[in-house]
This record gives sequence, structure tokens and C-alpha cells, in this order.
Amino acid sequence: MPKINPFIVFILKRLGIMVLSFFVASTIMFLLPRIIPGNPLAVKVYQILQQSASNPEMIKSVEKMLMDYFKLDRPLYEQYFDFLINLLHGDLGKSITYFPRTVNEIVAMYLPWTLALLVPAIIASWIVGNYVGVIAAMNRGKAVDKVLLPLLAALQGTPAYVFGMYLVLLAVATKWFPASGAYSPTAIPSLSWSFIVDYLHHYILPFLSIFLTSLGGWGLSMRNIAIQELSMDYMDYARVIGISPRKTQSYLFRLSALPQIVGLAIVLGWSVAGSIITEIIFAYPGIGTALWSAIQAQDYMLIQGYFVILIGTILLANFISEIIFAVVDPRVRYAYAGE
Amino acid sequence: MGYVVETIDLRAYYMLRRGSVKAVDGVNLKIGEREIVGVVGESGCGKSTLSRVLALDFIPPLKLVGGKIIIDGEDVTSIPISEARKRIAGTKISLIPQSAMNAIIPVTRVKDYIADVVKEKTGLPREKIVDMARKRFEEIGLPPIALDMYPFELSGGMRQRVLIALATLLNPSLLIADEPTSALDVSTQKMVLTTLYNVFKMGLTKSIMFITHDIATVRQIATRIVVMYAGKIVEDGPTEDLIHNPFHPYSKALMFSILTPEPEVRKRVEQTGGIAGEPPSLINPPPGCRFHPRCPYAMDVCRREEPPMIEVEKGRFVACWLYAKK
Amino acid sequence: MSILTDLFRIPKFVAGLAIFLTIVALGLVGPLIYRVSPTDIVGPRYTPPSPSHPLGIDALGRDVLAQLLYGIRGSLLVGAVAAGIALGLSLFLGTIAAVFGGLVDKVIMVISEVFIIIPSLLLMMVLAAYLSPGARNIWLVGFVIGITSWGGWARGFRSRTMSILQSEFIKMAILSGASRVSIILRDIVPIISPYILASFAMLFTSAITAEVGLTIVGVGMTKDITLGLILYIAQLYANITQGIWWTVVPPTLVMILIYLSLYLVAISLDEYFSPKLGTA
Repeated sequence: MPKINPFIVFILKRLGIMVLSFFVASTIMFLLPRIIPGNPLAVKVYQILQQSASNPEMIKSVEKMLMDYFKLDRPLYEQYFDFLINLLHGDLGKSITYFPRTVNEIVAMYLPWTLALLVPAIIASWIVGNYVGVIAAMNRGKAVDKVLLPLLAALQGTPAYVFGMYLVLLAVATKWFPASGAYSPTAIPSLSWSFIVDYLHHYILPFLSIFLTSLGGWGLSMRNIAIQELSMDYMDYARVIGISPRKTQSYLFRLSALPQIVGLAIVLGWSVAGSIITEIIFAYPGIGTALWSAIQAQDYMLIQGYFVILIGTILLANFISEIIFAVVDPRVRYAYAGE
Repeated sequence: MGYVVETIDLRAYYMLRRGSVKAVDGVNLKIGEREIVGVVGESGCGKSTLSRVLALDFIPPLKLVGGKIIIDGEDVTSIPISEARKRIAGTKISLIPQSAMNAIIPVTRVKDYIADVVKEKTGLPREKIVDMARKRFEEIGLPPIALDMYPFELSGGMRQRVLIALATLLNPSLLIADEPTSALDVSTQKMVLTTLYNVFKMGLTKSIMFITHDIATVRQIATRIVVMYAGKIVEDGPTEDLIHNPFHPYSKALMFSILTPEPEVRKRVEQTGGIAGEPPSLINPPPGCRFHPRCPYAMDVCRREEPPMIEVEKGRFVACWLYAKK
Repeated sequence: MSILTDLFRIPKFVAGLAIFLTIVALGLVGPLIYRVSPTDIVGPRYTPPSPSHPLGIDALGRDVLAQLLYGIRGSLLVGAVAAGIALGLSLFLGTIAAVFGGLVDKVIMVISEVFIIIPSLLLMMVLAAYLSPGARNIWLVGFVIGITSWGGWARGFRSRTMSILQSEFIKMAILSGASRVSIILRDIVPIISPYILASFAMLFTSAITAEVGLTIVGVGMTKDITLGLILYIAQLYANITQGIWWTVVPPTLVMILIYLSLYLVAISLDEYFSPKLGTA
């Protein structure tokens, strides 16, 4: 039997788990609104039907259109099969409240705002958190560490939205920053200088609330990893052979940042889901706020679409992070490539 | 004749809350040029601490309490430790650690690691350093391809020899090897020992200090042996003389364990640490001679006063009241 | 017991436990002492804190202190239910996977992996979104949080158990014919009990946070008062942007204190029982 490269086996295994998780998650999301007693999806569709078509003549045609689309009169397995086929084609269906706009269109409208907020905040907190963590680890037990450790733990334990609430209260009290939205109600999104300044002015508080709370997590995990690394023989020998503390710190940073890169990929994947409440608090026009209004309006197709996308992002990030880990860490790569 | 290293009444303690552990307590040691000095003793006698102290590696709780270290004629204890370390560690005095298996930063290639270490000390360009390393690898019989490998791709023996190459790259005055073979299998031990000896013979280091609890190993390479007990040097003399005719009662017990041919007896002796009784506490060491509670020849004076170091024969020193009387 | 007296010498542990027990006492005894109904309208909305209403009045004209005390009680109950379910599942599945190995282990690991990867918050939101609001009481929300947050801890218990299985005395027990269940119950559980306690503490506080998150989004608690419901009402009536701090700060502060106190307890347990670092 030919020997298969163990690295490929590893990737295939991870891929398998990812596909399985995605399948389980999307199945749950498909089934729940349809099998729960009273079939909330059907109720909702008929409700909309009645509201939207006051003209009795129209009812028939609209009903036909909705029925054709949602196929609520067909057996469940057929609906499920259609759902999977569409999913494979990247088609998440159409919104109920905004019918006939597609879920994809609506997501495309909100997602850029969310990414513009999250990606810079998380990457910035990653970089700063890692530095702070290494500094705390190198000064373990000293004054610097004794200040940093509880501070980081408090930051980590505070959910981003609680921080958001405090920042909004502060903004209201001081009037230094606008308390909600991504830009002034009067401004029109464009690439003009005045809009960008307005956007950044609104950006600071939600940015800070995400930045500060994730800073705590990065700092703490980096400190833990770095402390473990510091106890390794090679750090001891680096000191004995006379490598300067600065160079040692850079080694330590490199060694400990490896697992943190994996963490970064995972957190980025999770962040969209994790910042839903922060977006709501700041009334920031991203995926989170959109999901909230979809839940309020009970637009099951839209909810289902958001969930599929959120879970897809998380799974993909998990998968990518494991590949990154295997590629970046020569030890892991060696373990898979070698005999 | 100049000494590469000379210590005068050197004291280095671990400052713990319970008290200070007097791991190196009044050590006078001279290592001349072209010497391989074996430092032997039970574990916990302070020999590893001595190596750290000579490499000026003071990390809390280890602290230099008193005495002088003179390296190549310069009193390095008169200048701030960090300053001294910068000039001495890795250049004039190099140490090969106990655990070579894990001593190299695992995420760099060997050549990058060597370049990083040497560049900081010399400011030489990286290519020059890698060339030097390649030459040194060839000299000590390492395949130059190891330079392009990661540490975990190398065998234990190869890692140890990479460290020897690194430690001698700047031709130090003293190479300290702290139990360099204890983690290796027998055939690899031989190879590393040979490498160490070759490094000495080729003059890549002026002298070597070899620390071990294994006298059979040190015997193959050392020109002189120093016996440590409870933070002090108790005997010092040429290798074969000291092994065949030890003076100090502690040395006698220690040497007995390797000269006994029957493996049964040896095993029993090794298990009991060579000598009946426990090594003393280094927080509250016994007064007088520190060996007296375990010594079969202990006299009154041994319990009261510390024995001086005396030259019994030419080049043979011992700290024991049995010899001081004459 | 000497372990207990040892633990009580660790300032972190004592401080954490003291804060936590104070909060528990507030939730249990508070409503009995401060006898104001949390649902009655007691005055004009948004009356700031005053001697008669120490934490002021909320958007619906209710006393905030009474709300807070009942909210603490409700949140603690959610935490206990969720942490109990998650701990039970993770401990059971984690130790079983380690001790039985083979196919059992593989299946449990894949399931737990799926549960780790699928974000529990989302799963809870899906479940809650489709359940009628009237059904969403403390027990249901606690249950939903519980069954979605066991995955990571199951892996933790598995790896701890695996390392214990390597030890000599367990091997002897297996050789002498002890049943696997009895090994789990009699040998493994006592050894990992500090870890079990620590994991319960962390599950407890994350469940309380999860409830608040769910409820603010609008899919959580609807019937019983919890910290989440207080914040939900505050958010719904835009108290924050109006600067009405007294409905927002007290519940969030209690959340942070619960987290910090249990975090202190968990890390001091972990530091006390895990092998000490240090040089020989």
C-alpha cells in the first residue's frame, strides 16, 4: 500500500470534522423553525401574505409566488434536499420581510461595516496584548506583573458589551464622542474627507470596547504561554550563553506568538458572532444589529442565513488556524512530514 | 604562569526565605592554561552552582555573596555583574549545559541561532559567522548540513556537538561542560567526550572544566580532579594520583565506588550515594569540617574548626585535619 | 481537613470566595430583608437613587434595588442549572472517553469537537428564537446554556484522566480486575476534584454572562427576573444613551464581581493543586 503523506491525512481529517460540523449546524437551523409545534415559519409566511396583499385579487398570485419559493406544502425531506442543494450553490434563499431580496444581498450590505470595525480592533489588540503578555511574563512576580495581571484578568472577564455600555454612558456624560451609529444621521456614506472624519469619530468607542476586552484575553494567554516557554531549557541556555535580554525577548515573542497566531484566526472567525451585542449597544449598522432586527421581525430565512454565514466563518477560521499552526511551527510540520 | 580562572574565597548562596543555601562557600580554585579539570561530587554538592557562578549567571535566588573571580587576570567581580556578563559570557567563558536535548531555541535553524548569538557579541556580519561555524563544524566532525537544520531534526549527540561548536566558536579561555554526557547513551557519550578532547587538543579552548558525578567518565579526559563536598573543595590533585591514592576520607569513599570491580557492590554503593549517611543541609551546615558527621575518622577538632587546605605532596591539596597535624 | 486550611491561607482564594458568598447571600437573603416587590410600580420612572429607593427607579416605574436582588437570585439559579448540566455532561463523557478508549473515545471526541466548533451562543439563539417567549423561563435558559457549553471541558477532563491512567497505581488497579466504572468513581474523580471545582466555577460565571448576552439580544429570559432581563429593559428603553446609569451599572458590576471572584477561586485551586513550578 502506498504511504500517504501524514500531513495530507491530517488536513483531510480536519476537513471532515469541519464539513460534519457545518452539516450538523445547518441541519439544526433548517429543522427547528419547521418542526417546532405550530410551524412558526409557515405562520410567519402566511402572516406576511395577509399583510402585504390587501387586494384580494393579489393574494392568489402572491401566495403562489411565496409557495413556489418556500415550498411549504411539500414534504419536509424535499424541502431539506432543496435547502442543501441551494446551500451548496451559495444560495441562502430570500428574506421573508424584504421579499424578494435575497439573504446574500442583505448580508453583503451589512458585513463590510462589521469587518471594518472588528478586524482592525482585534488585530490591534492581538499585537498589543502579545507585547503586554511577554512583558508581564518576563517580569513575573515583580511590580509590573502584579499590576498587569489583575488588570488583564478584569479586562478579559468584562464582556465587550458591558465595556460598551460604560463607554456609552461616558460619552453621554462628557459629550466627547457620539454614543451611537457608525456616522452622523445627516452624513451620507462616501469616501469624502468629512465623512471619514465623521466615521472615525463614531468609530473610536466601539473600537475601544472591542480592543480593550480582547486585549485582556490576548495578554493573559500570551503571559501563560511565555511563562511556560521561559521555563524551557533553551531559554535558560540563551541566558547562560549570554544572549542579551532584548534578543531573548524577541525569541520569547516568536516562540509564544505561534500558538497565538492560531488563536487569532479562531477569534477573527468568532468575532462576528461575538460582537453582536456590542453592535446593538452602539447601534452600529453591522451584521449584529441586522441579526437583532431579523430576530425582532422573526424573519426566519434571514436568521437562518446569518447563522449559516456566522458558523461557516467560524468553521473556516478554525480550519485555517490548524493549517497555519502546522505550517508555521517547524516542530509540528516536522512531526507530520518526517518519519 | 597565568591562570584562565582564579577564584578567591568565592561565596555564592541561594537566598531563600527559609535561609540561605550555601551552595558555593569559600571556594579557592585556580585553573591554568591547557588543563582539563574534572569537578566531581554528589549531586547537590554545589558543583553545578560553581559552573553557573563562573559563567556569571546569577539569577535570583542565586547571589554572589563574597570573594573574587579573576578571569584572564581581570577581577570581574569588581565591575557590575551585567557589565561583566556582557564581556565574559560566551566569549571568555562558555558553558555547555546539562540538557543539550532542549538547549537550542526550537524555531530557528541552527545557523540562524549561532549567527544571532555571535553577532551580538562580535558585531560580525552573519555570513562571516556562518562561515566560521561551517569551518568549526568540519573541525569537530559535524556535517555542515546540520547548519541548515532545525534543532529537533538533529540527534542528541549532534545537538551536544552543535553546542560545543557554538561554545568554542570564539575560542574561549575556559569551556565549562556541566554533565554534558549524562543524558546520552553510552556510544554517544564516547563520541561527545572525544569531541571535547579534540576541541581541547586543537586549542579551540584554552582549558576545560568538566563537571560530573561520574568519575569513570571524567577519568578518561581530565588532567586534574577537584572533589567538592557541601559547597567546598575538599581535595584537588592530578587525575590518576587522586583516583588511586585519595587522601580525604570523602574522596576515598567516592573513589571506592568506581574502583570496586564487582558490579553488585558498586551498585549498592552508588545507591547509597557512595557513603553512609545523608549529605548535610547547606542552610545550616555542620560546624567545623562539613564532612565530620559522616566521617569514620572524625576527631574533636573536626567538629570545632574548619580544616585548612594543605599541600600534602607536590600538586596535591587536601582540606582535612588528618593531614594538617603533621 | 488540611487541604481546606491550606486553601484558606491563600489570600486570592479567600478574597474570591468571600466576594462570591456575599453575592450569593445578597441573592438568597436580600429579598427577605429588602421587602419591596420587584414588579410593583413604586414611583415615577427614572427617579434617581434616593434614600427611599437606594438604586432609583427604572423605565417601568419599578424599584431597581429590588430588581437587582431578585435578578442576582435568578442569575445564580441560571448559572447553577447550566453549570450543573454542562459539568455533568463533560465529566461523564470526558472520563468515559478516556477510560474506555477506542471507538467510544473517537465518537465522543468528534461530538465534542462539533459542539466546540459550533458556537454555543448561536445555537442557543436559534433554539431560543424559535421557542415561544412564554416558555423562556430560568430552567429552560439554563438548560439550553448547559447543553451547549460542555465540549471544551469534556476534553479537559479527558486529558486529565488520561494522564492519571498512566500512573502506576491505576495500572495496578486495572490489572487486579477493578471495573472501569469503579476506577472512574473511586480513583479518578477524587484526584481531579479540584479541577472539577475550578471548571464548575468557570462554567458558572460563563453561564451567567451567556444568559445576559442572550437576553439582551432578545432571545433569552422573558419570565423571571435576571441580571440579563434588567439590562434588556435598560437597553430596550435606551437608558444608556439617556445617561440613566443606575439601571445599567449595578447589574453589570455584579456580573464583573461574580466573574472576578470565581476566577480568583478557580486559579487559586489550579495553582494549589497543579504540580509546582520551580527549580530543584
